[in-house]
Amino acid sequence: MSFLTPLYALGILAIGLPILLHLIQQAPRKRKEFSSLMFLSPTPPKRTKRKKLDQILLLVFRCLILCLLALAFARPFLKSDNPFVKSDKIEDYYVFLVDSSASMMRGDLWNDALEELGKSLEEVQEEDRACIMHFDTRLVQVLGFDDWKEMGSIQGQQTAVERLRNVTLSWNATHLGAALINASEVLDEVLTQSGKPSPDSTLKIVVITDLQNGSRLDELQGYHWPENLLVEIHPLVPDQTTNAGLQLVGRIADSLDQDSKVQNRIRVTNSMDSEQESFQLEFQEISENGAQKLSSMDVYLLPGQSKVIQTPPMPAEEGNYLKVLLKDGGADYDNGLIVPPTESRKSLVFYIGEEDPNNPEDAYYYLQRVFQLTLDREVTVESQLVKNAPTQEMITRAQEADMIVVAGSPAKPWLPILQQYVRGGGRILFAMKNADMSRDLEKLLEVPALLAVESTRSKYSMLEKLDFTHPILLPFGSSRFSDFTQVHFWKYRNLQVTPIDNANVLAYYDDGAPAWIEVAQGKGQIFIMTSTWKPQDSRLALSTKFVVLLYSILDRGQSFYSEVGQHQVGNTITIRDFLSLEDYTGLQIEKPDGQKIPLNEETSQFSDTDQPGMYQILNGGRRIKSFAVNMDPAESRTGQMSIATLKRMDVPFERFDATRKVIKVLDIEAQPQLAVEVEKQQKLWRWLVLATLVVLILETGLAGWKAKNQKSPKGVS
Amino acid sequence: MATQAANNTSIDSSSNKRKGPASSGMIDPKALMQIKNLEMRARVVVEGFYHGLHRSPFHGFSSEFTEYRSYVSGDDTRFLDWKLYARTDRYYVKKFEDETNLRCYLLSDHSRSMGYGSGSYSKAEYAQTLSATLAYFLFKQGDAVGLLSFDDDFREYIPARNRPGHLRQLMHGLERPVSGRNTDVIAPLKQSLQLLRKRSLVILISDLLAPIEDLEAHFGYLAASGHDMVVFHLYDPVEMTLDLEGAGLFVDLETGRDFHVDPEIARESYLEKFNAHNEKISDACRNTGIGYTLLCSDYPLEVALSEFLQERQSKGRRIMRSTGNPGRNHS
Repeated sequence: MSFLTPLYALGILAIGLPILLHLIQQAPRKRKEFSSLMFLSPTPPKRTKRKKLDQILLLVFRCLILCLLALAFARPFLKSDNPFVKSDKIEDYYVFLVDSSASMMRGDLWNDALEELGKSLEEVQEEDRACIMHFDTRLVQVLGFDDWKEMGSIQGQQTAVERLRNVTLSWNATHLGAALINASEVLDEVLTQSGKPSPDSTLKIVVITDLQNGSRLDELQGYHWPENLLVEIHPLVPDQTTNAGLQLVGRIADSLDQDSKVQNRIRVTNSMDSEQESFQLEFQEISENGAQKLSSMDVYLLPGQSKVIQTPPMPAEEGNYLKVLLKDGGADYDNGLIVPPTESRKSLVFYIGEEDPNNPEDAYYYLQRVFQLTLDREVTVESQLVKNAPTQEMITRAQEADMIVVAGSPAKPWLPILQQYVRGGGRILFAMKNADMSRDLEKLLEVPALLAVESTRSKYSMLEKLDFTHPILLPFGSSRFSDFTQVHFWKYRNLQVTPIDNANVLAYYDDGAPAWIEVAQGKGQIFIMTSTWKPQDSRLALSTKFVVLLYSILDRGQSFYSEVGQHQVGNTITIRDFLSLEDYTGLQIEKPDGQKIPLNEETSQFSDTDQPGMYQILNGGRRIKSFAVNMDPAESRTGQMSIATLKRMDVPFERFDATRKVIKVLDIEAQPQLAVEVEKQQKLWRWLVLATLVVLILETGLAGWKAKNQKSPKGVS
Repeated sequence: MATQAANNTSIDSSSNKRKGPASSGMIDPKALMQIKNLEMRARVVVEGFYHGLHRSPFHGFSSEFTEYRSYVSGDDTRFLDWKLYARTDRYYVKKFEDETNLRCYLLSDHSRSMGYGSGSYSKAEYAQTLSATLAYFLFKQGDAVGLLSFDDDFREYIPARNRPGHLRQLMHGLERPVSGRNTDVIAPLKQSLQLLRKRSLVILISDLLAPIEDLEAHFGYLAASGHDMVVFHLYDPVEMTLDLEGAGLFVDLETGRDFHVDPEIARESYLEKFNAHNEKISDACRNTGIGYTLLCSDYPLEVALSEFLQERQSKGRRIMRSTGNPGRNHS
């Protein structure tokens, strides 16, 4: 038997009191009236000690009552009858996740994390297996399950902490949700590999993190957790909680003319648990010669509040940019923001169709209105009639286009041009305005036979099974934007997608027919819509989703990561998106720390954005372009997140119950929380209180009976 | 001035035996208290004491003439017998035997401490009977008897009279139960005496359980008030000896205060304090010319009566001796 609160058992010592009282015969306190006490002085009552105990049975009852009460307060529980307890040694699996995001740079958090890891690892038993990882936007393994097994627990602990000590903290955001899910999958994978795991094994993910509010948890939504998995969070608290951050939110200009002055708007956010309310912003112009202070301003912000501030106009000289510094903004890691020079991105959309640009019933009418001129983007839409055979000029324009929209059966000569365009990395939006267009698709995709029939449904259809993880639909991933039920489709084509290799259906109609399909072809992609957006076919063009969807197809989701021309740490940047060159060979990217990385010639993608700052694109040592990379603004939201937030996401903190045998004998002693659970299950204290009551009644009855039968009861009664 | 009983303040239990009813053929107070009617009790006691032996403290004009004596310088000229002077041409002074009825007030202490009694009756009942006996005795002699009762405050006043029905009124007044709590003997006594304009014989029956300093200070005042005072200091036999069995929580009847007392342990110091207290009261009375009788509640009432009469007689003689002129008032 064990006790949850054993100190209460010391109450048993109180039985000395009744024994003492039974030994002492107190002089009977008879009241005697006397005329006056003026001649009397008080004499202390005489107490005589008896050598023999009187009223043994009563004494036993009284002692028993005290003992039972003391035991009840000590909250006993039986280990042997414990449904959680399994006496055999069972292999438990642990994954330790240590937060290595930018916010861990605050104060001494990283050392605290390592210390906490050391302590947590000590709890891992010899027969258990552990895997240690650190995470930010990625999950990096420090020590695997196999390494742990080989090294044994003691050496494993030392190695893991040692390796983590050598890890440099990244500037990345905290993707806690993704890390938890990945860790869960790692556990699942290991269990699958190691054969059938014992049903009594505990799977536990121990997360050591600062649990900042900016941690991303979106991925946890709807995640189905494995049955016997537990998550334990060890939140770290920094010494200094004050922190403010900066975020570039947009640009404004008097007009869209080239000459108009563009100003940037930045958001200053003060953390929830900040102790400071007044900050200073300093604006600097960074040129090749160095930094030059432009101006400064004071900002007053209550904890938890944010404010949007307008920056001074951008430097006129080409290549110079603006840097905003936050003075006294708590931890230094997020006190700088690079405001990149204003550069309008130019894109070309080549439309092949035969519709009237001024007819609101036609698809082209809406397409040309989607791509409006903005400060950051200039999209030109060029239209060609489908019937016309392509001229050389047309072919050139089509090849230069960022996206080709095919909204009608093109003339035959177009097909090889389109095929070549896609294979070269272009994007085609193929909107099927009728079932016959499947013939063109056959040729375009080089598929033997592609069957498409007009839908015969009398009622409208809605979209379902949308793949929000796909880059194109990712902007709609948040629950606020994922409602497509207002987008009704009256006419669509039921396309048989099975013959198409690489077909990725992004959405279906509610009768099961594929609605949006992406097919990878060479370096490029074809996005097929089996219905068009014109009002005759659907309400897509009239819905709020349309503009976002078309921009997303144009940029394949990239535009939403590089808002207002900036990029975030950890993003993969496609240079082609903002630098059009015939050949990307020999290009180099110079990182803010001076390191030069050659660019991938084929994809023109650069993914080594591991620090905030200005990145230069060099061609033969000459700077031809630059781009700014800033830290994820979420990383500045350093107020501590409530555990309840994670509980709302169904993270299994306390999932163990009577039916699951996951706790070992040794664990009960080591883990007070589990002991509490076991005690709660057994509730032995109730029986003890009941026994106390029974003895109390017996004692009262006996004492009453004795008092009745004794004229002058001696001793205590 | 104090009587034999009063002089023997440190009375032991043998004094009880000496004065016990068995040895003297007097009525046992226990038996007497069995009589419910207070007047009847008094009547029984007064049997045999019909003729008063006391004297009035007044020696006024209505006194009976006894003898002549020659005038000496300093005598009050009011008492000169001018007719005799006319006949004999000598100055003679008339000498009177006082015949004026005595005006007597009984001051009865009704405080809670008087409610204590170790036997079948309390000190208060004994005091009632004693008061009734004295009242009856004096009334039958033709003296005017009044009553003043008090506890922590002045309670009842029956003026001294001698007329039919007055005795019954006195008895009613005496039968009033013990009700007060505290006994500040002096304050109500002073208040009561202010009511008595004419000089009277004042008989105080109380246990005098009050701080001796207060009592001493005020006895002087009482003596100076001009009244002839007699104090019956009443006590219970147990109060005298603390002959109680077993320890217990003793409760003060007057104040309600209580503490644990073991009589065996406390007796010696108690008796010492009690006797010292009584002695001081006795001394105070003696010094201030107040008649003092220490009376135990198990004494036969005849003893009290006879001692009272003896005390009055001796006082009468002293007055005559001190004045040297029976026909003149000494005051």
